[in-house]
Amino acid sequence: METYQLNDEAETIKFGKIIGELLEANDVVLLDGDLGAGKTTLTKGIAQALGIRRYVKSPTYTIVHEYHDGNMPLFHIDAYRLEEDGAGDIGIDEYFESDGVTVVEWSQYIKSYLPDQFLRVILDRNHDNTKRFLTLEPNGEHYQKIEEAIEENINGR
Amino acid sequence: MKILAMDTSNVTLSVAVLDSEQLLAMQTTNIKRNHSKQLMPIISQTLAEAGMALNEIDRIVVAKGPGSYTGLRIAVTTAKTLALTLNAELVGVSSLEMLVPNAPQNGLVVPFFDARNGNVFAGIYEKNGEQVVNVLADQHISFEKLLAKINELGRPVYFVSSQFEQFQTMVENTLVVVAEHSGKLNSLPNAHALGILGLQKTELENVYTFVPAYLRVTEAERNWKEKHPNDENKESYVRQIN
Amino acid sequence: MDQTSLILAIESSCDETSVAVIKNGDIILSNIIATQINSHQRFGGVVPEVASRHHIEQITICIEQALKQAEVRKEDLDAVAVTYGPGLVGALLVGVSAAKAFAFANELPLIPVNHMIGHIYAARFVKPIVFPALALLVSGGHTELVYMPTENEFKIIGETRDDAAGEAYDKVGRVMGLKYPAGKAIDELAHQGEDIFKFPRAMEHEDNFDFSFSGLKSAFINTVHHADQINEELSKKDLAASFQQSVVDVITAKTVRACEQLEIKQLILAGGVAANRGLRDTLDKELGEKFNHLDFVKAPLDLCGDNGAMIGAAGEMLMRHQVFADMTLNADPSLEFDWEPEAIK
Repeated sequence: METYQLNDEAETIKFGKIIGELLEANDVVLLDGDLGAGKTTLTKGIAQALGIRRYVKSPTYTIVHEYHDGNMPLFHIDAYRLEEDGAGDIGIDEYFESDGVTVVEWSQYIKSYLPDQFLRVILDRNHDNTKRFLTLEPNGEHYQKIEEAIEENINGR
Repeated sequence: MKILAMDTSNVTLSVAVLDSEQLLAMQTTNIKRNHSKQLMPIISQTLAEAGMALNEIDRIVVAKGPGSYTGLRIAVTTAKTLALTLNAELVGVSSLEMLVPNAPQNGLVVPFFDARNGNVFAGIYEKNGEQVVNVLADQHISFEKLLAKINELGRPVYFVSSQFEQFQTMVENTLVVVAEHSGKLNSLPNAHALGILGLQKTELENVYTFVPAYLRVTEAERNWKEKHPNDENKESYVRQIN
Repeated sequence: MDQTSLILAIESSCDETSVAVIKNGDIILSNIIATQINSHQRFGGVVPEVASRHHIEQITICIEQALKQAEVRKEDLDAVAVTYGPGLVGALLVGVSAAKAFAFANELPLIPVNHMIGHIYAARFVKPIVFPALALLVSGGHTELVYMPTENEFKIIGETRDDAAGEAYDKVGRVMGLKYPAGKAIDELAHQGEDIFKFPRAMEHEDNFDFSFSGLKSAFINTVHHADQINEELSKKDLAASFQQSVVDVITAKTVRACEQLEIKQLILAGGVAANRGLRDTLDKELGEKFNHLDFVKAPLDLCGDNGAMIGAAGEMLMRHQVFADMTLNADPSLEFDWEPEAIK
C-alpha cells in the first residue's frame, strides 16, 4: 500500500488514466473520499483510458451512469443514498458481472453487495484543498498485480 | 370465481389463471431476468392459454411480500392497476405463505428467503391439508433467532426454501427438533398455490392504498426515526399539489 | 378522421408521482401531482427506496383522480404515455408497470417517453414549438443544450462536463445549511444580495457549448470553510447572489453563443431549474438585446418541475410519429439523447 500525491486536477485525471489502462472487463474499483475529494475527476481519467469520449458526469442524481461509447463499457455508481437493499434494486450484481468496468463511489453504503475482490482507491486532500493524496488498497491477486503495475508505471517515470 | 394470480417476489416469476381451485394455465420462469419485461407478456400468454379474457377475471391475487423490493413493486403495481381498471377484487397473500402448500405433509412449515448478513425473511405456519394458519408472523429475523424460536415450539418442522443449503450447517448444529426441508422439486413458488390461498381469503385489499409487505423500514427512515423519536406526522410526507 | 386525441400520461422518475390527461397534446384536462419533497427533506436529498415506496402508495390514487378531474372515461382515451427514463430505476418501474397494466387492460397503445423530451415539450403549453429549435435543459441531473432540427430529433450540442446546475445548487445549499431542495431558497436570497465574491465562471469564453459547475462548487466550499476557520461570518445573501450570478452567467453565455451560431427559430428554457427567477430574467434581458427574431419560450413556472402533463405533451408528438412500445417495455435509468457536439458545424 502506497500513497501518492496529486498536485492538481490534471494529475488526478492522469492517475485515473494509468488505472484505467490496466483494467479489464469485470473489474471493480471502489472510490472513497469526501465531497470534492476528486472521485469524479479520477473517474474521468479511467474513462479516457477506456476510450470513452462522453463526459463523465456526477452520478449523484440518477445513481448510475453508463458509458457505452468506448472500448469497454463503464458503469459509474454513486451509492450514497442507495442503501444495502437498494443495491439489489439497480441490479448491482449484474454490473459487477458485466463485460465492463464498474466504479463505485461511497461503497461503504452497500458493503454486503460488494464482490470479494476489488481495487479500493482512497482519496484525501490537504487542509487548504490544494493537493490530493491517493492510496491504493488492492483486494485479491488480480488487483495486487494492478497495484504493482501502477507503482511501476509511476516510479518508472 | 375466475382468478389471475401473480408472483414476482424473488427470482421466480409465476402467473396462473384459475377457475376457482381449478388451474387452467400457469407459467413459471426461474431465470435471473427482468420481471418488469416479462410479467405483462406472461400474463397475456397465460390468459390466452386459459382461453380467458382479462375482463372475465373476478379476483386478482398477488404475492405481497416479503421479497425483493423492486420485484414486489412490479407485481403489486401491476395487480393494483389491473384491479382498479377492471373493477376486480384485489387480494394480497404473503410471499412466504404461498410456499407452505409445497410441504408434503401436515405440521409446522417454515418458509424463508435469504436476506443477507445472516438474516432471513421467514414465518412459521401450520399446514393442515389445504388450510394454512400462521403461527409466527412473517418477519425479518436473524437465522439464529429463527432457529431459537423453532426450538421453543418443540415440534418437527419442514423448511421450504430454495436457499436452504446456505443455512444447512446452522440448522444441523442448532436445531433440537426434527427438521426436514424442501428439495429441488418443491422449493419454488407457484401461482397455482397462490391462487388457491387467495381464493380462501375473505379480506380484500384497497386498490388505492395497497402496498407491498416489505417488512423492513428503509435505512434512511430507520436512522431518521432514531434521531426524531416523537415525529409521527407521516401523512404529510406526500402532498398532492394539483 | 378523429380530430381529438386524449392521452393518459404517467410520470414517476424521481420524487413526484404524477398522472395527467392531455387533449390534443397541448390542453391540460388534469395534472395530478403527488410530491414527496417533505419526505426526502428529512434526509437532505432523494432516497431512492423511499421514493419508490411513495410512488406505489400514490399511483392508483393519481390515475383515478386524473381521470375524474378530467371528466374522462377510460373508454375515451387514445393512448397511455409513460416516462421510462432517465431517472431512478425503482421509481420509474412503478410508473412503467402501472402504464403497461392500464394500457393492456384497456387495449390502448403504450407510448414510451424520454423524461427530457417531456421537459422540453412543457413549452407546448405556452405556444406551439417551431423548428428548428434549441432547448436549454437545466435540472438536478441535467444541464444541456439540445438542438432540434425537427420535432422528434434531439441532439446534445453542449452539456455539463461534471455536475448539473441543479446539483450544484443542492450541494451549495447543504454547505449553507439550507433545506433540500435549496434552489428556490438560494434564488430568493440571491435577489437580496450582491455578487461580491466573484466566483469563477468556468469555460465561459471557451469556444464550445459545454458547462462546468464543479469548480464553482469547490470555490464556494473553500470560501465558506476559510471564513469558518477564521470565525468570519459571511452574508448568506451575498454568497447566494455570487453563486447564482456565476451559474447564470455561464449558462447565459453558452446559450447566447449557441443562438448566434445556430439558425433556430425558437429557444426553449425547461427543466426544474428553469423556474429560477435569476436565470429567467437574465436570459430574457440578454436574448432580447441580442436577437430580434428569436422567439424565447419559457416552460410555465408550474410545469418546470416533474409532471405528467409534459409527458402527455411529448407523448402526443411521439404518437404522431408512431413511437409505441410493447408489453416488454422496461425502465431505462440511463436514457439520454445522442451526443452530437458537431451537429451544427
